[in-house]
This record gives sequence, structure tokens and C-alpha cells, in this order.
Amino acid sequence: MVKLRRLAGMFLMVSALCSGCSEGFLDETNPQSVGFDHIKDLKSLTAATTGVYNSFNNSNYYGRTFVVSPELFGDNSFISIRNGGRYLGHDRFTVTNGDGYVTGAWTQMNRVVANANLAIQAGNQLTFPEGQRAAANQIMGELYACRALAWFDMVRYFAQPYNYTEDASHLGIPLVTEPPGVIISPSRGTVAEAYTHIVADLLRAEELLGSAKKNGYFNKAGAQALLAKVYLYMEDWENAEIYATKVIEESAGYTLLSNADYVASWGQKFSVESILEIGMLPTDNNGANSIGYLSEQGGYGEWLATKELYDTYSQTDIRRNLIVPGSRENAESEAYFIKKYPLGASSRDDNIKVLRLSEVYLIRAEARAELSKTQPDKAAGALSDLNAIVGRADPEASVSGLQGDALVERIILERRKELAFEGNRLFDINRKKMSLVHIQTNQIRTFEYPNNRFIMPIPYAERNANPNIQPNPGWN
Amino acid sequence: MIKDNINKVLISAILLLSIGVHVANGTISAVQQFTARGRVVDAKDGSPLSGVSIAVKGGSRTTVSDRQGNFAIEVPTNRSVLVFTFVGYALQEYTLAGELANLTVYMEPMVTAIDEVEISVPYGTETKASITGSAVVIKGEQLADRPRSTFQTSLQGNVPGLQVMESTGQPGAAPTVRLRGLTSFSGTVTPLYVIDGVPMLTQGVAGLAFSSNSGAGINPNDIEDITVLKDGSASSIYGSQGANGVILITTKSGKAGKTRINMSANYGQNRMAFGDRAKPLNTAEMTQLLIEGVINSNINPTLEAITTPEAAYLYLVQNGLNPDVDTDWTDVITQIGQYSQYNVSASGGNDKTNFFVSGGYYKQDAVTKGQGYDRKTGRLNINHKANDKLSFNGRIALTAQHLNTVPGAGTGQNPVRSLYRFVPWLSPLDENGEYNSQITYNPLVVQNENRYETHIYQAIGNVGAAYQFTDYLTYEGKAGIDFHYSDDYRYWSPIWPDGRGVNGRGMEYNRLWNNWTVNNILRYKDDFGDFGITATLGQEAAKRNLKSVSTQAQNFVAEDLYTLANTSEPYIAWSSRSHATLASYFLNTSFNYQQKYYLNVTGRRDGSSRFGKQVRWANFWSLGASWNVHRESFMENLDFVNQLKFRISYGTSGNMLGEYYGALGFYSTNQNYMGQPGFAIGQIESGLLQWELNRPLDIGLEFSVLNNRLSGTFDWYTRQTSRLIQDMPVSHTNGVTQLNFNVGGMKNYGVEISLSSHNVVGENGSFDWRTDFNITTLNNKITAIQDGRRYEGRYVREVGGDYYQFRMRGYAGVERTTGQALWFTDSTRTATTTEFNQAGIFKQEGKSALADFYGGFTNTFSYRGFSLSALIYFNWGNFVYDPWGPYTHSDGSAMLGEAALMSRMVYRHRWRQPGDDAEYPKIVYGGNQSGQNDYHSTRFLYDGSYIRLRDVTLSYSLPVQRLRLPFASASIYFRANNLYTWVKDDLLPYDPEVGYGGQYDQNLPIAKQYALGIDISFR
Repeated sequence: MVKLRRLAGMFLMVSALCSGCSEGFLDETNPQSVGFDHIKDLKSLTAATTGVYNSFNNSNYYGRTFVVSPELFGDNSFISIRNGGRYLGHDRFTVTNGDGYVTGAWTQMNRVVANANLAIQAGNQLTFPEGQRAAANQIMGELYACRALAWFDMVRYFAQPYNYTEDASHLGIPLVTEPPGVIISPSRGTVAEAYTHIVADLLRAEELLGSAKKNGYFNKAGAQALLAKVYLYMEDWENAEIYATKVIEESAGYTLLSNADYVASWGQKFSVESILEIGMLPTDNNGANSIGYLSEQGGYGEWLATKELYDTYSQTDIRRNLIVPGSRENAESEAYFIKKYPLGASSRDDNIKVLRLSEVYLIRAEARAELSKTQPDKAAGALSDLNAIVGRADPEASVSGLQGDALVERIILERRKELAFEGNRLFDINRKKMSLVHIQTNQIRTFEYPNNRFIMPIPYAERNANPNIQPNPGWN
Repeated sequence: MIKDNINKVLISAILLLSIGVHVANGTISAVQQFTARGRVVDAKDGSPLSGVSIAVKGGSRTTVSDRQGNFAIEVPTNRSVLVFTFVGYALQEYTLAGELANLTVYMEPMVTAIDEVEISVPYGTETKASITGSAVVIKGEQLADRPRSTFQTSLQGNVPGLQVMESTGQPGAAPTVRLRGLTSFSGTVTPLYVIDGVPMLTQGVAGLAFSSNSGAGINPNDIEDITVLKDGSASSIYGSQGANGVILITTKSGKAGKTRINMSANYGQNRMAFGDRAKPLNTAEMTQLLIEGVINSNINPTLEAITTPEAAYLYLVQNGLNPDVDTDWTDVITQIGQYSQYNVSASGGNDKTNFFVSGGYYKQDAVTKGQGYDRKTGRLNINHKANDKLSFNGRIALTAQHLNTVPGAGTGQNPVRSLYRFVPWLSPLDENGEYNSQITYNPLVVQNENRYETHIYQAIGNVGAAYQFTDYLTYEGKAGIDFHYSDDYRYWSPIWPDGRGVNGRGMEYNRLWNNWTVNNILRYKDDFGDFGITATLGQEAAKRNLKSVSTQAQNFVAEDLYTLANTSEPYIAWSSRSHATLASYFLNTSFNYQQKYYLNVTGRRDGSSRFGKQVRWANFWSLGASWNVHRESFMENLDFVNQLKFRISYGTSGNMLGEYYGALGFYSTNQNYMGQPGFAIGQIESGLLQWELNRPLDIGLEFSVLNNRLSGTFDWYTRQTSRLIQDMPVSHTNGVTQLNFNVGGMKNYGVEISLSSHNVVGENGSFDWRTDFNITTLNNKITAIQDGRRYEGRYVREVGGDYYQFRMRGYAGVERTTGQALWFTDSTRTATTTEFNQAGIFKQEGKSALADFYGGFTNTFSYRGFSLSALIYFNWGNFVYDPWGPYTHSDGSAMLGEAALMSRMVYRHRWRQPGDDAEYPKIVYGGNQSGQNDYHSTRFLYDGSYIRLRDVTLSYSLPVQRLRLPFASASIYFRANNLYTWVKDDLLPYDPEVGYGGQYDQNLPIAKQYALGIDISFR
């Protein structure tokens, strides 16, 4: 027993000498993080909002996928036969639910919503000093607008268009509006519900946002332009026209680019007609995954325009210069290079133009043309809006004498020409119930509307994790 | 000559002395006296033994051998019997047979009774009799002078229960090491490595290198032995770190006596073990395939119109196929690598101080140009006894590793990707000798223009002191450092796509791992009559600190300048830190009765910073018992049994999160936009996330019979693990895609058998033959998983199934008349479809990445100084998936792309005409029925069973005495690794040794190595 007591005594003595016995020794926090309770003032709220925008420039969202993919389905562009395997499922109409690009887009869109939810909740609980109130409103407005944009993109990409069913009661997207506090597995709401949320957020954003230009971020005109586009997709022509008009006529600081400046503007950031542009820096890490690297011959150069699109431009159309005919080595002897993202082989930081004044003109033209079917006096306005774009691109051209469906079709063609390679084509085809002409190097196929494959499958990764999420019809 | 003279002088002196003694004693008798002269040497290595006591049996005369082992002793008759005794050697009686001169007496080193062999165990040593756990000891000789960069790979095939896999042939890369299966979904699954009592980080430590291995910082030539501890009794004392087994490394110490110097040199070559089946197609062969493809294709009117080979050929040439170029990318990319290794060490000491000091240099080129590895090591081990009670010890190894690696898998920089994917009609250089601009990722640019350099600097060691209070109580304290600094440099030349447009980019990445461990131990050992007790009570604290710094800059002022000071644009400046701490208390107690029955009780309490406050402390324990049957009195008459022992152990150990901050919820920073700092959801808190629990049960039998000529070990083990942390996928609407939960459970069970047989016992250099054999069976079963089943990648994880059960579409071969690929519509495998998207994804019953069994079979023959040993490694019953298969089996869909090369397997096994019973479908130029990049199916799932002649060594011990060489011993040897591999699956194009998950990843293949070496020892 004496031995044991001595032994115990000695151990205590030794232990007292030892390092690291205190509980504090075991407290470690991640030095590259902040806690979820970190949003306490304008500065931290702003940083949270920055984190929301961060998702937009991810290469699977506006950074590349969400711009390229809707242009590969259809007649504007395709992947070269000499390629590195990128976007082939999109190019060949063989996307699967395991497609990494689609999954990535789903992740990033949901990430915008989840982060915006946290920031909105935190922001709404804060009170700001008088001097910060305008700035705080701007930030809160941006959060609502960002969330609306992510929902809008999600519902466009993963659900059939608003007009697919009479009352838009078909499958939409999961709508999470508050931080849940627990892990959730939400089911999908209807498309109508999605649009209700989007419109509500944008109306709120319009109220909160300031009108000053804020390059790379939403301002009031950005929310209004997006709202015009949302109403257009909802076929709420009146509101589409109203909101387009607000942007065109009431927002200061936005004018259409001149014919002379137009082509060069694609190598520049934040032009006079850019309403919402996702900013890219060379350090944003997209690098070889940047959009320009996919189209520039100094990069992968495998994203090519179709000859059919090139041929839609007249010789004198300035926009024809954004497609350069040439030959792709060891591949297409006759190739058409996309030049809308010209920084791709150098700094790889082409900004993504999400909303341009040109599109707002075309939104109003389309809304007015649709309205003119019952209100003939709207036709003139539609034509004048259309010609603002047509004539800017080609001073010798103008459209006249068209009405009804023919006029709408002409406007959709102009959308194709003006907005080519900007991530609209698939959605325009689908919402206008057109058949999709799928053009690749070696083959042309036509897919009829309605078509389960005009929208993306709910990714396998989500289906695997979330038993409540309904798959899209025709997809597993 | 001088030596001989000295010998003579010495012998004369001895003779004179002995005569002097006789004279003094006045016992010169009239009887005739003889003098026996000779040498006494070690029977093992022939080295001379000095200081051996020599006596005449039945007489009073004695003498000792001199420094050269020579002796001379007067004997009464030329038939006298001499008795040789020497510490550490068996007593040897030598009967004179008339001859008196030039006698050679061999003394056998004392074989410690087999059950008294000491075994290193955590925080101490045990004997083979006292240990109650399952442990395997690998001697240093099995590791030294191997052409492998790390000791880990030399364990393959030698330790039952231990799986070591080299998934890449990149020299210096870390192998995959798993002990007794897989215990965790997302936590640590590698064994704990402990070097001289201090846990060591054994993993990749570099930031940019494709693969690095801090474990390669230990020079295998410095290792005395390695103990692999496999069950609870052996490893529970490491508590939360012991769940995956423990590998204890003990480095060499000096011994009192003459200083011994060892030198060894090795030189050899590595060749790509290029099976004929993986040989890239040449232009003619590719053209042949594509002509078929164009004829078969009707994807557009132009192609539909082509029906003749001539027209097809013309079409291909017009579209970019150049029939005049036939690049063998093997020549461009691969090489015969050089290997060399030099080691020198000195050891010795006196009764107070001993030392071991060594230096080593190792260099190995990869089989691809531009990749390689070299290492410089130095070690100093010192022990000093200040007095009877107090002693000090210090061990330190300094290492510099240098690697040239390039990124792997699908990146354009990967030379293996280029090798298996580039079409032969592209040439790396154009007609002007410039890099061919048609190739996006030119492997020559990777070789010649880019830079991929990694340096790792390591200091691994400890200092300690021991104080013996009483004969039964000792204190030991130790502080260990485990320090790794990696310095990565990468340069993308302005010619390389990623450096283009920015005029070159340079990257400097540094990582500093500064880990320390402090422990304090009290040892107690006492006997109470027949009862014996040993106890170890300890406390330990450890901290891991990692700091990473990354910088990138671009726009270089000139070529051939590489440091970032030569650039104009900083691009990335980044640093991060992470820390993890562990605090522990432990007690290990062993009781025995008459050293027949042993009971071992272990407990450990661990607290870890990686878990939340409420759950961070946990207790672990184990019980082990053994019965040394051969020490029972009833065994006394069974002479042929040298050892018979039963043992059983059961206990618990834990497993931590692999991630340092995996239990916390937080916003990650660095989520920036437009140059503004931002944060976004990084991880959602799993507050009650706690330790994974491992409960191993082991029942073992050890025996040795027939004069130890046949010995073996049987072990049956089962390991139940529960509360497994799972990176569970969650709905992306949560803002994250996965989250850690304690949900899973697994069971690993199997049998391990090892047998050693000394088939022919060679005496004094005659023919000798030993055989060692071991086999391990492995069964892995998931016992709990969220929702009972998860689909993860190409695996299905479900209760009752194993962790690497493959699940994918089932390839059903080829439709005979049309040549189209077929897939099964569902798991019943009854109906097939030609539409990939209609094919069902289902569990591939019985096809798992885990082997059914594996093991090694070694034969060693020796004869008169020659020794030949061959290790055959076998691995059976696992499946290997090639996720790059859809690219290399594009069936023509990739057309004329630069990376459109089809595999030789496609060439051999494609469908050609109606009626063909082919493995693979027809070639269709631009087709999309098969061959799309994401058409993953069992078409690319192969049987991974193989048998490999892994290690063949032929060595010859030079008769240094006879040749009068100035060495204590010398040997030369030839060694060949991976000489031959038999692969069961005829369609598997690559080496079957891939990582644990059974996925081939376009890594550098394992090389065939040939080496010549020489070992010399001086005393």
C-alpha cells in the first residue's frame, strides 16, 4: 500500500508539471471563419451580402455553366469535335441527372438563397443609425433581389415555363424563405408559387434599393429590369411593359451603346447599357474554367457558334463582328468563333452581362407586341422598341409592316441575335413553345415542344439527399 | 601484412603467456602437449568473435580469443573437447578430430527462447509470452536497401491483416495503408504511426505536389524493427488514435562494444511495366478504326453517303487526320528511370553511452520523363546513463525530400492522361521544331517549360529522461517533435495554356506542420511470489499546428527566371492556420501467474479539440488474456512443442474526425466578390458529434514446434465500429451539400494465418530453405447507415453490404447484328436496351472494391553464402473501376479530337460485322449510341485479382576471411521488384493495384525495378 500511495503521489506531481491539462487547451476554433451570429452591423451585413454574390460568379453559375448551357441547347452554339469533354451532355442532348454542371448550378443557386435567407433574417433584426439607413436599405434590397434572381434562374432551368400549364400549377422549385435552423428536405412548390415569391422579393427590392449605379451589384434599375423580365416570362405583358418603361424612361444613367462602341464593349466592363453585370476578377479562380477560356482559341476554344446563327446577321450588322469565321485546327475546317468573351485567353475575367438595356427594349417590344394582339395601338411602340435595337446594330435596317404573331416572332429572332451566347436561348424557345432545332457540327436534330428534356433534371445529389424532392417528369 | 604481423605477435604473446602460466605453476609434465589453433566466428555472418572463453573440457586450461577471433590452447590429446562460451551465443563444444591447426569454430548466436523475444509495445516492451494482443514484428533487414522510398510499401505481403497499396508509381508518393479493413466512413482510416514513442504524421504534407509522404522521411535503413499492433489489447492504449491499428517504429541504437560501420550502395533502373494490352494504338490502327467508324456513321448526310473505306479515309484526312505522322507517345512521355541509394551508419558505445549515427541518400526517377524523387537523411540516436538511476536519451532524424510531381487524374498536365488519350497523328513538335500549337496540353511543355518542384524538410525526434526511483518504480518523460515543412514551387510557362495570356505564372506554397507531444510515464513492476504485476501510468498532451501560405504571381520579366520577384503582378496572397489538440491519461496493467497466465487491462481517457465541449472527453479500455500452454507442467514431456499460446482480447478504441473543425458550424470567409471580402455558409454545426467507437475482438493461437522449425499464428478477428461519422449528403437548399453525423456502423471480420517453416536446415553453409506464408481474409459489412442505404458515387452503401459495393449501369455486351452496345434495363439482367438513358442503375451483386483475401508467400534459399528469396504477393476477389474508360473507349464518338485515342482493348474486341460475338460495340464516327464521356457502366468494371512476383533478391555473402578482405562482412545482391504480374481479367488494360476504393485514376503505373547492391560492414 505504501508503494501504491507513493506511486499515486508521484503521478500527481508529474501531472501537475505537464502541459496541456487544462480544458482551455482543448478549445480551438477555425481561424478562417466567423460564427453564424457574426452579422451585427452594416459592415458585417455587407460582407454577408458579398458572400451571396460570390455564388453568382462561380463557374457553374453565371461564371460559365448558366450562360453556356442554355445556348448549347438549340441553334446558337455547340461544342467542337475537338474538345476536352466539357458540356458534351448539353451539346448532345444527353444530360443525365449526374451531370456535374447541372448539379453545380443547382448547388450555387440554392447557396444564394440559403445565404440570403440568413442575411435577410439577421439584417431585419438590426437597427441602423440614421446615417447608415440608406446604405442598409440598399444592402437589404440587394439581398432580396439576389434571392429573386436565384429563384428565377432555378425555376427557368429546372422547371417548365410559367405557361406550361394553364395556372402554372406544375412542379416548380423548393422555396425556402427563412433560415430553417435545422437540416431540411423541402419538396417543390408550383411554378406559380415560385413566381409569386420572385415578384414579391423584387417589389420589396425595388422599394429598398437606391437608384445610383453600383457596378456589379443590384440597384433599383436592376430590380426593375429583372421584374420586367419576370413578368415577361409570366406573360403578364402589362406589367412587363410598365417595368421596362420604368427602366428605359425613368432610370437615369442608362443609354443604349452606340453602333460604334458596341463591339468593343464586349471586351470592357460595365458599359452604359449594363444594368446588372456579374463582376469577375482574374483572382476569382475560374481561370481555365472561365467562360472566355471556353470560347477563345487561345484557351480551350471549343465553344463555337453555328453557321446558321452567323447567317442570320446581315453583312452590315455590327453584331456580326462578334462571330469570327475561321478554321479550328484539327477540327472544324469551317468554324465560327464566339467573341463575346474576348478576355478568355488573357486575364480570363470577362464580366457576365446579366441584364442589359438592349434586352429591356426587347422585353418591352415583346410585351407590347403581345398586347397589340388585343390593343392594336401598342404595335407602333413595339416596332419602335424593336427598331431601337435593329437600327442600332445595322443603321441601314429597320422592321416595319409586321403585326401579331409575325411581329412577336421577329422580336424573338432579334432576341436571338442580340442576346446570343448570353444564356437566354433555351428559355426563349421553351416559353415561346417553339420546337428546338439542335445544331452540332455534324448533325441537326429537331425536338418538339413540349419536351421533358427542355428542362434539367433535379440532380441526383439532391434526390439522393432529399426524399421529398420530386423528380422532373421523364427524368429519373 | 601489418595485420598478419599483429596477429602473429598477439598469438605469440598469448602462447608466451600461457607457457608462462604453466611454468609458473610448475606443471610441465612429461606427457606430450598439443596446441589447438584456430578461429572462432559467428555462424550467421562469419564475423570473427573476440573475447570468447575457450576451455578444455575436463581440464583447467582456458583462454580467450583475440580481436581477430584467433585462439590457441594447449590440449592434452588431439581428440580433446573444447568448450566455447560467449555472451549472446550458444555454448559450443568442439571435439578435435586429430587436426590441430586452422580450426574454424562456428558459434550460433543465442536464440532467445522464442517466447522471451522482446516486442516493442506502446510505452514500453513486452515479451512474446506476456503480450496478450496481436502483434507482428518486422525486422529492419526486411526494409533496408529496398528500392522503395518508404518502409510502408515494404510491409506489403509481409504482415497479415495489413493492406498496403501503391495507387501510383510516382516515387515518393504515399501508399494507402489499411489494417484489418475499413472502420470509418469519413474519419481517419490509416493506422497510427509512432516512431520511438512519438506519434508521427504520416500523410501527404505538401500543398501542390500530386502526392507526398511525410513517412518517407524515415530512412528504412535506420529502422531496427516495426511492430504492427492489430487488436484492442495492443492498441487501446492509444485510445482515440488506435482504432485503425498502430505501427510502432523503433530506430536503431548503438551497442556497447566496438564501433561498427556499415555501408551500402544500390544502383538500378525502373521500367514501365507496360503490358502489351495498354500499348497505345498507332496511326494506322487508329485510322483503321476510324474508317470503320465513318462507314458505320450516318449522323449527317455527308457521313451517311460514305460507304467505302477509300471515301472514309479521304473524309478523315480532309477533317484533320494526318496519316504521315505516327507519334509514339510512349517515347515522348516515358523513360527508363534511374535508381540509386547510398547509406552509411556507425554505431557503438560503452556501458554508459551508446550511439547510432547514419546518413543516407536515395534517388529514384519515375518511368515518365520529368518526375522523380530524392531524399537525404541523417539520424543521431544517443542514450546515456548518468548513473544507476538516471538516464537520458535523444533521437533526431533530419530529412530533406525532393519531389518532381505533376497533377494527376484528368488534368492536362498528367503525362499518363496524355499517354492514353493523345492521338498518334499529332506530333508534339511542328515542322519548325516549335511546340505544336494544335495540342492544348503538350506533355513536352510540361517536361521542358513548366516547373513542378517540391521540397519537404523534416525533423522528427524526441528527447527524454528516465529515473529509477526504486527497483520497482521508474519515471520516464519524453518530448517529441514532428516537424514538416513543405516548399512547393510550380511554374506555368507562357507557352502552357494556364500561363498563356498572363505571361507565365509562378506559385510558391509553403506548409508548416509543427506537431509536438509530451508524455510522462510511471512504470511499476513487481513480483509477489508467483504473481507478477507491471503497470504503466501515463499522461500525454499533443498538439498539431498547420500553417499554410500560398502565393502566386504572373507576368515574368524574362524566361528562365522563376522566383516571384521576377514578376509584375501579384495574383494570390493567402494564408491559413489550423490547430488540433489532444489531452490524455492512460493506465496499462498486466498481471501474471507463474508467467503462464497473463491478464492485461488498459484504460485511456482522451479529450479532443475536434469535438464539441459536451462530448469531447471519452474513455477507452481493453482486456486481454493469454495462456502460455507450453509452460504448463503437463507439457514438459511434449518436447516437440516449443511454444503454444492462446490469447484473447477485447476492448474499445475511438476514432476522431479527420477534419480539425468538422463539428463546428460557421461562415467560411474568403467568399469574396468584386474584390470585397465576404463570407458564406461553410459548415452547419453538428453539436453532439462525437467519437467513433471501435470494438475489436481477437482470438489468437501462436505455436512453434519441432525445434522451432514450424511456427505460426492464427487469428480470428472482428471489429465492430459504431457511431461512425458520415459526411451525409443533405439537400442543397441548406446552403451546404453535406454534413457530419454519427450515424454509421460497420463490422470487419476475418481470419489471419501466418506460417513459417524451416524446410531444410542448412548447417554451416549447406543448403537451407525457409518458407513464410501469410493470408488474410477480409469481410466488411455496413451495420448501420442513415436510411439503411445510400448511393454515393458508384457505390451503394447499405446495411448488410460492404462499403465499396459497386452500383452502376450493367453493360450487356453487343447486339450481334447491329453492333450496338447493350445495357440491362434493371438488376434482373433479363431485358436489355440500346439506349443508355433507359438502362437501370443497380447494385452489381458480388462486385466490390474490397479483396476477399490477400497475402504473401516467401521462399528463401541459401547455400554457401548465396541466398535467393522471392516474395509473391496475391490479392484476390476485388473489382476495379476505370472512370476514364468512357474516354478511352469512346467508340469513335470523340471523332478526331486530340484526346480521342481509343484503347487497344477497343481495337481488339470491337464489333466488326453482323454475327460478331464482340465484347465492345462497333465504332461509329461521331456516334452517340455508346462511347459518351459519362456513359459509365460495368463495361469499365474489371476483376482486380492478381498475383505479383513482388520482390526477388539474390545475394552473396563474400567470404571476407578467405579473401582477406578488410571487412567484417560484405555482401552483394541483385534485386528485382514487380518482375511479373498475372492479372485475372483479360480486359483490364492497366495495373490492377489501385487505391482502396478500387478506382483507377490515370496515375503513373507501378514500375518494374532492377537493382544491384553491395553492403559492407567494418568493425
